[in-house]
Amino acid sequence: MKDIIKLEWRLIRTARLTWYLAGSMLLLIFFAVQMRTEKVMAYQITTDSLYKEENRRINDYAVQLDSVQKDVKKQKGSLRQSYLNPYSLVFKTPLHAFFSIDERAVISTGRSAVYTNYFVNNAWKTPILSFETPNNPYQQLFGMFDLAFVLVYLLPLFIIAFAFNLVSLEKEQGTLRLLLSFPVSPFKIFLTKTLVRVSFFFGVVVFSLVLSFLANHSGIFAFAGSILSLFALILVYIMFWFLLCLSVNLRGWSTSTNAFVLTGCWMFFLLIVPVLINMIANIIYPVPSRTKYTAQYWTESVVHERTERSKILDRYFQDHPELVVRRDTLDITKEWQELFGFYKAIVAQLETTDSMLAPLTNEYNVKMAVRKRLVEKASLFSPAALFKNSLDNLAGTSDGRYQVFYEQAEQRRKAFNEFLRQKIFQEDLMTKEDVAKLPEFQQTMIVVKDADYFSEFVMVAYVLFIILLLAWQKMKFKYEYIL
Amino acid sequence: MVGAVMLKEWKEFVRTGRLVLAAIFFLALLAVSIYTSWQYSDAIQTQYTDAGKQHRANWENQAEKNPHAAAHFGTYVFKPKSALSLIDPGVDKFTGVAFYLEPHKQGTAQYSAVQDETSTIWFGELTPAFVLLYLIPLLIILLGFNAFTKEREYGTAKLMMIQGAGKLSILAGKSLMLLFVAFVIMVPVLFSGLIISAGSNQFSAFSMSNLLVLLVMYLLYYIVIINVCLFVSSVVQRSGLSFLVLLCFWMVSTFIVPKVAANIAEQQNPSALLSDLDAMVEKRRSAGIDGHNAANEQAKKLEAEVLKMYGVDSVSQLPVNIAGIRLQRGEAFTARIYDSVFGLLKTTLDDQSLTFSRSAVFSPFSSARFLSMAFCGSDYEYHWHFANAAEKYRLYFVQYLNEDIVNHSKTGEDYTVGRDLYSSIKPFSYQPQSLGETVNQQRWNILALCIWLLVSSLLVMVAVQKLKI
Repeated sequence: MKDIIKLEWRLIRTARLTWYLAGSMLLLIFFAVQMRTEKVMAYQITTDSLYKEENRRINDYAVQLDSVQKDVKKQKGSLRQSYLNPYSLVFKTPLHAFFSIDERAVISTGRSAVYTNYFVNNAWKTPILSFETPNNPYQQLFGMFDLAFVLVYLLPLFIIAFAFNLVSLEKEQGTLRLLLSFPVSPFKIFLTKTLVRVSFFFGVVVFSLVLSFLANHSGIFAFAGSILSLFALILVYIMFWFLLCLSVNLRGWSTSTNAFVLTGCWMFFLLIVPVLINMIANIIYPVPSRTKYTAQYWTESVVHERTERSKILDRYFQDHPELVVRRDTLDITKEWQELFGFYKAIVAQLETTDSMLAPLTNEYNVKMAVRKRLVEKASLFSPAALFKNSLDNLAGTSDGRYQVFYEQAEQRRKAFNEFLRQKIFQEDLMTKEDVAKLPEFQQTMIVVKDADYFSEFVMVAYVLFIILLLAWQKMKFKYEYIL
Repeated sequence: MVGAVMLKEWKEFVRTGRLVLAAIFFLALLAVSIYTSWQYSDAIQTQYTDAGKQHRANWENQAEKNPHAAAHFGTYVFKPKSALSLIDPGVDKFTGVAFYLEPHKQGTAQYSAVQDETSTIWFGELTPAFVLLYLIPLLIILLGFNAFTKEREYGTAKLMMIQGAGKLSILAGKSLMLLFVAFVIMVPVLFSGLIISAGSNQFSAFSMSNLLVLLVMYLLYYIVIINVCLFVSSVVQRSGLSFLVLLCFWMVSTFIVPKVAANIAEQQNPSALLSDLDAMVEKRRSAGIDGHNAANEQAKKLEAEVLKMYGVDSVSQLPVNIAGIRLQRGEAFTARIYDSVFGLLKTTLDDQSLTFSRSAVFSPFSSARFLSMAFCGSDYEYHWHFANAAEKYRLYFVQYLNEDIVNHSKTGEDYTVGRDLYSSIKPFSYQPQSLGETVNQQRWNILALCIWLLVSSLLVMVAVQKLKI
């Protein structure tokens, strides 16, 4: 057995193609890590500076508010513009929620190229209506060149190029008979050859990754657990493709046919299955229409607008008796009361519209969730899709983590609205102390895994399946197949 | 003799079973992609049309109020799907479709469909363009990678020469056969696109000339791929190696080059955050006239100017409503700001697009990809063209309402209007750009494809002439 390992290693070492492939892999990984590290760092710097700017604005707001509280004459402009007006918070210090990432984001761009990475806390604008397109669409159409792309798409092609003629080349060069003269079963010979290649290839990938991370000062080494998970995932994916190459080679076809079949497998798992999953999801659960939602939202607004505002407000107070203000405690001028009255009517109208549309909003959210669940489960038909899901999870840029971000941003929006609503309905002017009570936004840093390790389990199952297939091929093995 | 070579190639394709298998597979994929693309486009366009009508009705049904308050109620316009976008939906899913029109603010497109897609969208979508741009070139490679190597390996090249076939005749026969296969698969796509697009009045105007140009463009693209394929097959000694080289070429040109171009475009010209753009607008706006604030310094200057023009001492003596004039002046001011800020954004995006166009030097796929989207009316230029039309309409609709305040009310008057005025505003209509404009916009991509065609043709002819048999 040692001789076979030595022989195979010599074969790998002396073939020029090996070093071309290893060099290309190193270059591709290095380039992908470098590009993405720059992007991740730039994003972290931008969000940090935007949060700092926001804090500066809030502090400034508190200072101005304090000064106006002490001397009302310092107030310039209308009451609407006044720092004492609680609603002025919305336009004077708009609060942001940015999607946070750490150094692990270098692994995969994930959904960050597609999803909105920040929200402005727009008091009564529902989240479904608040998405905007930030990037050049060509970038989204082609996708970014990142580590996930190199690992998911290119790695299998490199493996195919490295192992498509594992047995057939020996046959075509006439060295197969010589190899079979070893006192070891042919099946063991081919398996050993494959495992030597797996080890070499895995070594090249790990070396390239470590070198690229170090050279780019990516800071990912602070997350040792994530790095080990990444290597384990890569090993499983590499095993799958190498064993597939071996299985095809054991059919005894020619080099050309092997190349044809293995490319077909690559196409099937990477191009056909994912697009078919997407297509089937679209047919079974069509995307609920935001267009329809907006039109209905506006129609409801028109209906409410036609109802007198005072009537809506009366009805609103019936539903929320706790918000009726006790007038004897008030210490504000008539102008302020009028302005609060204006805001009360708007809040009542917007909240009534929202509650009328709640069934539609829920239907939209439920349909989206069901659709996403279906696609996640259907990914089991492609190891590439599973691998990609796992990488996104590891990078913290997965679909699930974005959903958590939106939910957290929405909770903060609701808390802010509640704060504002209380101030408006209690006809309470802003004070310096109120600024400290503003709800903060804190995102859970990384949700490494948002489900049940489904993708990882199924990936391992794929490898086990091929091992079973090989065992079956071993049982049925006859020399005529390969000679 | 060319015919005889073609016939030989055809028989070989059929005998090895590769062609039959591939043809069944590709035609099935195409049929599914056309059907789903048609269903999707039709459903989306119906949604846009219905929503457009509903928003117009909402606009007309809103309560009686001041015209400017009505303008703030706003309305939506929707980007129509172009007829040929069912062949190539391009960036349709990645750009927003709805523009909210309101005073003082130029809207950005909302509701990009990709945000509702699941993570598998990363792998691409099964559309006719996916088959035409990605899979047919792969089919050509699968059928042609051993075009010359097999003749050498089996020793049949000499036989062909003995029978009187010149090297160039062999090249022509093999090229034409591969082109014929690509053509046979491509034509049903374009033909069904023609029938569906022309037969439906849902989409924006169907253009026969665009379809024909699209057909020519795809044929040129396939000729380039065939040339590359035959070139590699003629210079490489073994079929296996030829296959590997061509697979690398396909991978690099269809996936790696466009993705690397995306990274370089972003690195050289980083996209601005929308929050930055908003901040830029706010900063400039605070230095000028505020249409809503009579106490604003610029507004006071305007008031003095108007009083002087009408030769009166106070706004109450004016025959027009100063509030309307102020609003319109403020609108014109903010429109200029948006024009300049969005101009900056457009320059960045244009520079990014230029990087994509330049990548055509390394990949014929890039130019074909951009030309396909452009002729199908689904590229980013189409989106900007529509965005400009929507902005033009926004300015018209706000100005119309402001002028109504100026001319039909007095300063300080509690003036309200209703349905009559709302419905007198022209509904939005959109005319896509002409083929001539598209060709002009895409001249670099057309040139790049022609250069690929010329260089690859020369290379393959020289390589085949030098072929040792």
